[in-house]
Amino acid sequence: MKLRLLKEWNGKQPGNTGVFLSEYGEQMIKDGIAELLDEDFVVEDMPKKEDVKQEPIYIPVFVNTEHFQNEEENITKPKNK
Amino acid sequence: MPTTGIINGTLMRLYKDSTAIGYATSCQMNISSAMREILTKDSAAGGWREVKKGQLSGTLSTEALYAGPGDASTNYLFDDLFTDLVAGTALTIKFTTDVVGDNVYTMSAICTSLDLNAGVEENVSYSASFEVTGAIVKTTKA
Repeated sequence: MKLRLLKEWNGKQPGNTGVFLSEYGEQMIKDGIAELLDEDFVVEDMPKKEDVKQEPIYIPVFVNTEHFQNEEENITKPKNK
Repeated sequence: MPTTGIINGTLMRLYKDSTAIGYATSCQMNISSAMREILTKDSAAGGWREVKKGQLSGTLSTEALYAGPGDASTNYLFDDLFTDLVAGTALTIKFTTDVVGDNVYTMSAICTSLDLNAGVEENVSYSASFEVTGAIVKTTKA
Protein backbone atom coordinates (compact mmCIF):
# COMPACT_ATOMS: atom_id res chain seq x y z
CA MET A 1 0.00 0.00 0.00
CA LYS A 2 1.11 3.52 -0.69
CA LEU A 3 1.30 5.92 2.25
CA ARG A 4 2.22 9.54 2.84
CA LEU A 5 4.04 10.37 6.06
CA LEU A 6 2.28 12.72 8.44
CA LYS A 7 5.12 12.67 10.96
CA GLU A 8 8.86 12.13 10.74
CA TRP A 9 9.60 8.42 10.50
CA ASN A 10 13.03 6.72 10.40
CA GLY A 11 14.62 10.03 9.42
CA LYS A 12 12.18 10.51 6.52
CA GLN A 13 10.34 13.80 6.38
CA PRO A 14 6.56 14.31 6.61
CA GLY A 15 5.04 14.43 3.13
CA ASN A 16 7.33 11.73 1.77
CA THR A 17 5.52 8.82 0.14
CA GLY A 18 6.40 5.15 -0.14
CA VAL A 19 5.27 1.56 -0.49
CA PHE A 20 4.75 -0.54 2.64
CA LEU A 21 3.52 -4.03 3.40
CA SER A 22 -0.18 -3.71 4.16
CA GLU A 23 -0.05 -5.06 7.72
CA TYR A 24 2.67 -2.62 8.73
CA GLY A 25 1.09 0.22 6.78
CA GLU A 26 -2.23 -0.24 8.56
CA GLN A 27 -0.45 0.07 11.89
CA MET A 28 1.28 3.26 10.75
CA ILE A 29 -2.12 4.70 9.82
CA LYS A 30 -3.54 3.67 13.21
CA ASP A 31 -0.59 5.29 14.96
CA GLY A 32 -1.16 8.50 13.02
CA ILE A 33 2.29 8.33 11.42
CA ALA A 34 0.99 8.11 7.85
CA GLU A 35 -2.10 8.46 5.73
CA LEU A 36 -3.34 6.05 3.09
CA LEU A 37 -2.93 7.04 -0.53
CA ASP A 38 -3.67 3.76 -2.32
CA GLU A 39 -4.46 0.44 -0.63
CA ASP A 40 -3.65 -1.77 -3.64
CA PHE A 41 -0.56 0.11 -4.74
CA VAL A 42 2.54 -2.06 -5.10
CA VAL A 43 4.89 -0.42 -7.58
CA GLU A 44 5.94 3.19 -7.37
CA ASP A 45 6.10 5.50 -10.36
CA MET A 46 9.39 4.86 -12.01
CA PRO A 47 11.35 7.91 -13.14
CA LYS A 48 10.73 7.81 -16.86
CA LYS A 49 13.44 8.34 -19.39
CA GLU A 50 12.60 11.32 -21.56
CA ASP A 51 12.71 10.60 -25.25
CA VAL A 52 14.77 13.37 -26.74
CA LYS A 53 13.84 13.74 -30.38
CA GLN A 54 16.66 15.09 -32.47
CA GLU A 55 15.58 18.09 -34.50
CA PRO A 56 16.70 17.91 -38.13
CA ILE A 57 19.70 20.06 -38.90
CA TYR A 58 19.56 21.94 -42.20
CA ILE A 59 22.90 22.74 -43.72
CA PRO A 60 22.83 25.26 -46.58
CA VAL A 61 24.43 23.90 -49.71
CA PHE A 62 25.28 26.39 -52.42
CA VAL A 63 24.18 25.28 -55.88
CA ASN A 64 24.65 27.19 -59.13
CA THR A 65 21.42 28.64 -60.60
CA GLU A 66 22.24 26.76 -63.82
CA HIS A 67 21.44 23.59 -62.00
CA PHE A 68 17.84 24.69 -61.44
CA GLN A 69 17.48 25.86 -65.02
CA ASN A 70 18.49 22.44 -66.20
CA GLU A 71 16.00 20.92 -63.81
CA GLU A 72 13.19 23.06 -65.24
CA GLU A 73 14.12 22.08 -68.74
CA ASN A 74 13.98 18.43 -67.83
CA ILE A 75 10.48 18.83 -66.36
CA THR A 76 8.96 20.95 -69.15
CA LYS A 77 10.57 19.24 -72.12
CA PRO A 78 9.08 15.91 -73.14
CA LYS A 79 11.47 13.06 -72.97
CA ASN A 80 12.89 11.78 -76.24
CA LYS A 81 11.67 8.35 -77.00
CA MET B 1 -7.86 -14.38 -2.00
CA PRO B 2 -4.54 -15.57 -3.46
CA THR B 3 -3.44 -14.49 -6.90
CA THR B 4 -4.75 -16.88 -9.53
CA GLY B 5 -2.52 -18.17 -12.32
CA ILE B 6 0.92 -16.92 -13.15
CA ILE B 7 1.90 -14.04 -10.91
CA ASN B 8 2.92 -10.79 -12.52
CA GLY B 9 6.57 -10.26 -11.58
CA THR B 10 6.02 -6.53 -11.20
CA LEU B 11 3.93 -7.15 -8.09
CA MET B 12 6.41 -9.39 -6.31
CA ARG B 13 9.06 -7.33 -4.65
CA LEU B 14 11.61 -7.16 -1.87
CA TYR B 15 10.79 -5.36 1.35
CA LYS B 16 13.27 -4.46 4.06
CA ASP B 17 11.20 -5.11 7.17
CA SER B 18 8.00 -3.67 5.70
CA THR B 19 9.43 -0.97 3.48
CA ALA B 20 9.80 -1.60 -0.23
CA ILE B 21 13.25 -1.49 -1.79
CA GLY B 22 12.57 1.49 -4.01
CA TYR B 23 12.64 1.87 -7.79
CA ALA B 24 13.45 -1.82 -8.25
CA THR B 25 13.30 -3.11 -11.79
CA SER B 26 13.93 -6.76 -10.94
CA CYS B 27 14.35 -8.97 -7.88
CA GLN B 28 15.77 -12.48 -7.58
CA MET B 29 15.87 -15.05 -4.82
CA ASN B 30 18.12 -18.05 -5.16
CA ILE B 31 17.90 -21.08 -2.90
CA SER B 32 20.35 -23.89 -3.31
CA SER B 33 21.38 -27.05 -1.61
CA ALA B 34 24.97 -28.17 -1.51
CA MET B 35 25.57 -31.81 -2.19
CA ARG B 36 27.96 -34.00 -0.23
CA GLU B 37 29.51 -36.82 -2.09
CA ILE B 38 29.18 -40.31 -0.68
CA LEU B 39 32.20 -42.24 -1.80
CA THR B 40 33.16 -45.48 -0.12
CA LYS B 41 34.80 -48.64 -1.25
CA ASP B 42 31.32 -50.19 -1.27
CA SER B 43 29.68 -47.53 -3.42
CA ALA B 44 32.47 -46.92 -5.87
CA ALA B 45 31.48 -49.89 -7.99
CA GLY B 46 29.94 -49.02 -11.34
CA GLY B 47 31.50 -45.56 -11.47
CA TRP B 48 28.35 -43.61 -10.61
CA ARG B 49 28.60 -40.71 -8.18
CA GLU B 50 26.32 -40.76 -5.13
CA VAL B 51 25.30 -37.59 -3.30
CA LYS B 52 23.19 -36.56 -0.34
CA LYS B 53 21.76 -33.24 0.66
CA GLY B 54 24.20 -30.89 2.34
CA GLN B 55 23.91 -27.33 3.55
CA LEU B 56 21.10 -25.09 2.32
CA SER B 57 21.86 -21.53 1.34
CA GLY B 58 20.22 -18.55 -0.22
CA THR B 59 21.07 -15.32 -1.97
CA LEU B 60 19.04 -12.32 -3.02
CA SER B 61 19.71 -9.73 -5.64
CA THR B 62 17.92 -6.75 -7.03
CA GLU B 63 18.40 -4.20 -9.75
CA ALA B 64 17.00 -0.75 -9.25
CA LEU B 65 17.17 2.84 -10.39
CA TYR B 66 19.18 5.18 -8.24
CA ALA B 67 17.69 8.12 -6.34
CA GLY B 68 19.74 10.24 -3.96
CA PRO B 69 18.89 12.09 -0.75
CA GLY B 70 16.73 14.54 -2.70
CA ASP B 71 14.15 11.86 -3.43
CA ALA B 72 10.91 12.39 -1.47
CA SER B 73 10.37 8.71 -0.85
CA THR B 74 10.14 6.60 2.27
CA ASN B 75 11.28 3.55 0.36
CA TYR B 76 14.55 1.79 1.08
CA LEU B 77 17.11 3.22 -1.33
CA PHE B 78 20.73 2.82 -2.35
CA ASP B 79 22.03 5.07 0.43
CA ASP B 80 20.27 2.94 3.05
CA LEU B 81 21.81 -0.22 1.59
CA PHE B 82 25.21 1.48 1.47
CA THR B 83 24.99 2.15 5.21
CA ASP B 84 23.94 -1.46 5.84
CA LEU B 85 26.75 -2.90 3.71
CA VAL B 86 29.43 -0.84 5.49
CA ALA B 87 28.00 -1.77 8.90
CA GLY B 88 27.42 -5.42 7.95
CA THR B 89 23.88 -5.20 9.28
CA ALA B 90 21.67 -8.28 8.92
CA LEU B 91 18.38 -7.09 7.39
CA THR B 92 15.00 -8.72 7.67
CA ILE B 93 13.89 -9.13 4.07
CA LYS B 94 10.50 -10.23 2.76
CA PHE B 95 9.87 -11.28 -0.81
CA THR B 96 6.14 -11.08 -1.52
CA THR B 97 3.26 -9.71 -3.57
CA ASP B 98 1.59 -8.54 -0.32
CA VAL B 99 -1.63 -10.19 -1.52
CA VAL B 100 -3.66 -12.15 1.05
CA GLY B 101 -3.20 -15.89 0.42
CA ASP B 102 0.06 -15.48 -1.51
CA ASN B 103 3.43 -16.67 -0.22
CA VAL B 104 5.73 -14.53 1.86
CA TYR B 105 9.40 -15.55 1.93
CA THR B 106 11.06 -14.10 5.01
CA MET B 107 14.76 -14.20 5.75
CA SER B 108 17.65 -12.43 7.36
CA ALA B 109 20.23 -11.26 4.85
CA ILE B 110 23.41 -9.20 4.69
CA CYS B 111 24.12 -6.89 1.78
CA THR B 112 27.35 -8.14 0.20
CA SER B 113 27.74 -5.94 -2.85
CA LEU B 114 26.45 -2.78 -4.49
CA ASP B 115 27.24 -1.84 -8.08
CA LEU B 116 26.33 1.67 -9.12
CA ASN B 117 26.17 2.32 -12.85
CA ALA B 118 26.03 5.72 -14.49
CA GLY B 119 25.98 5.70 -18.30
CA VAL B 120 25.74 8.71 -20.57
CA GLU B 121 22.07 9.64 -21.14
CA GLU B 122 20.94 6.65 -19.08
CA ASN B 123 19.21 6.39 -15.72
CA VAL B 124 21.68 5.87 -12.91
CA SER B 125 21.04 2.36 -11.70
CA TYR B 126 22.48 -0.11 -9.25
CA SER B 127 22.44 -3.75 -8.41
CA ALA B 128 22.57 -5.13 -4.89
CA SER B 129 23.40 -8.64 -3.72
CA PHE B 130 22.56 -10.22 -0.40
CA GLU B 131 23.68 -13.39 1.34
CA VAL B 132 20.98 -15.05 3.40
CA THR B 133 21.96 -15.92 6.94
CA GLY B 134 19.85 -18.60 8.58
CA ALA B 135 16.67 -20.11 7.20
CA ILE B 136 14.30 -18.84 4.55
CA VAL B 137 10.80 -19.20 5.96
CA LYS B 138 7.79 -19.55 3.68
CA THR B 139 4.45 -18.42 5.08
CA THR B 140 1.11 -17.40 3.62
CA LYS B 141 -0.02 -13.81 3.83
CA ALA B 142 -2.99 -13.74 6.18
